[in-house]
Amino acid sequence: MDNPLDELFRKNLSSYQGTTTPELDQIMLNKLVKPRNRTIRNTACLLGVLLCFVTIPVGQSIFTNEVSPSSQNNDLDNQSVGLQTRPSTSPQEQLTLTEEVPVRSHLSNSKKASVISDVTSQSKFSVTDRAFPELWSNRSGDIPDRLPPAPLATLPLSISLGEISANSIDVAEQEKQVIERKPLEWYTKLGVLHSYHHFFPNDQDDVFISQFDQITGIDAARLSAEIEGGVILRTKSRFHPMAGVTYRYYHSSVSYTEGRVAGYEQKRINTDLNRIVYEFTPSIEPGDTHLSTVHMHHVGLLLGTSYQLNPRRQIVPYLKPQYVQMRAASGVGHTYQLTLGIGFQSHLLLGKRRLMVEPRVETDVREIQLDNQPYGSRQWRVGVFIQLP
Amino acid sequence: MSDNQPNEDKLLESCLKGSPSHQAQLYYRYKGLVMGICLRYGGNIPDAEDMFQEAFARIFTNLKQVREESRLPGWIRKVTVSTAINYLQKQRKHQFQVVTDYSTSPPEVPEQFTVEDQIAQEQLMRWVQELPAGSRVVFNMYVIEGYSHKEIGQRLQISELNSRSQLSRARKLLKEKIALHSFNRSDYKSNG
Repeated sequence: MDNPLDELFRKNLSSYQGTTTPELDQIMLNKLVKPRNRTIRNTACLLGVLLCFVTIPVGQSIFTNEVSPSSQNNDLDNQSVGLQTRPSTSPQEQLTLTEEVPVRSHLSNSKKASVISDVTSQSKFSVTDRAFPELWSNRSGDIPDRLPPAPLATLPLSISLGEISANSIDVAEQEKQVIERKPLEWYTKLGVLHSYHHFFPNDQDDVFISQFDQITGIDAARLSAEIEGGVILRTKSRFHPMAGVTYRYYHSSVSYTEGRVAGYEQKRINTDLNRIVYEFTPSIEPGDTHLSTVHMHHVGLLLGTSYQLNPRRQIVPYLKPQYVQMRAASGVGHTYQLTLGIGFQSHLLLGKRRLMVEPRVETDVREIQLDNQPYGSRQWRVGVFIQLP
Repeated sequence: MSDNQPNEDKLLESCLKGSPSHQAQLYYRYKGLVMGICLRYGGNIPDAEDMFQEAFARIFTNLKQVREESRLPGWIRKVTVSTAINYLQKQRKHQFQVVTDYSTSPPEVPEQFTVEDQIAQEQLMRWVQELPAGSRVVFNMYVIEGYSHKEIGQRLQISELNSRSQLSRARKLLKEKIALHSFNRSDYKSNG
């Protein structure tokens, strides 16, 4: 660089190392690194605390033990398994539990999570002398920094702390496997919908079709089943386009003044080509979850067309067929609908399986009939879907 | 490199696998570099710290985009600069306008600039931070990061001419500071 001023600044500042405060470092580490640790550690702590309370006999004295603050160690991987106990030699730290009920009720109330969290943050646990008998007997003497694993075998529950941590890691690994997404995901949905439909005559004729006798309100006859298969494209943004094909089976009845369509049966194929799903849950990283369940939420805009088949509609004799007729001899009506809907999808992670439940509201905003049909319908549908990945 | 200091390959790989210890190691290894960039662009410590947090959040979120591990430092630098610029644009703290103050005549600055004294890094950093925001960003992008005026114009959505003017202004202000600094030092020395 020709300019000496530029050269001076470039040389000195291009590799300039700024300093950060310990507080900022702590914030950043909590924000960036801790979640997985905290989850695993909380899992271990939860099990550990439960374990301790299971083994505390009423009225028996206990003493506090500190969890070695593994955050002091460089190897943060060991934080999650940092349940090594170090006994306190100070007599002031000895506690006596005289009643069992308050302890249990304390844990069973709604603040249980915060209590556990507090316990975690304070890095203190209470354990029984039964669980660690040699600590109890060795209090006056030299106490080792770490306990040998042998006393754990004396616990009433046949589980060791090592197993707890290993299980926690397994859970995280499972979550990782499940949450890992492919760019193109196939799915199948099964749904049950309730239709609020309104039938109306296509050709208004006061003589032949003047009144529809139709079901109102919530009725079992208005239920329909739907199966949907499709593909979702996972983009880097939170908008994921989806395309799918839906088959809906709907069975209802409607009658009108000049005839009756018994067993109005609708078989409908939807092609939802323009569905966009917006994922509004913050991106979830493997391990950044609570125990073994994960909730992910999506809001989807359903915009698609559907092709409707009514194969069993009966042909009704009309006096003026030019107004109301069903041209197809088989009684098949061909109708296209433009559907608009919105859904909310919640993902529940159960072990290695992901269950997605989606309440959805949709409506046909526009209907185009290829054949001259006696009546049309306008529908609102409310349904619940279960998606199988 | 010792065993406790894994190379970029292993560090990146482990971080992507979600190893907290390696993620912490990555943070400690690059926090100085990131904070240095944030201080240069931020102008003050609170803004720099905000940029720093955003930058590291982006780095950790998008770490999988790094294809070659050897490019990690360069990628981190690029992400940080981008975050800093976005931050400043969001804050609307700077207007990329050409500011010409004709009310006072500019101080005399020698045409031929020479650096006679060794100036501390901290002092240079302070002078850069004291620049008006618009000039500071352009100066950093052009001089330190090596962007062209065309690229700066595209990134900041300003004209190329505006970018040149901002740079010229930054250089002039920095020359003034250095001249004043040199004068004070020589005055201090002559007075004993």
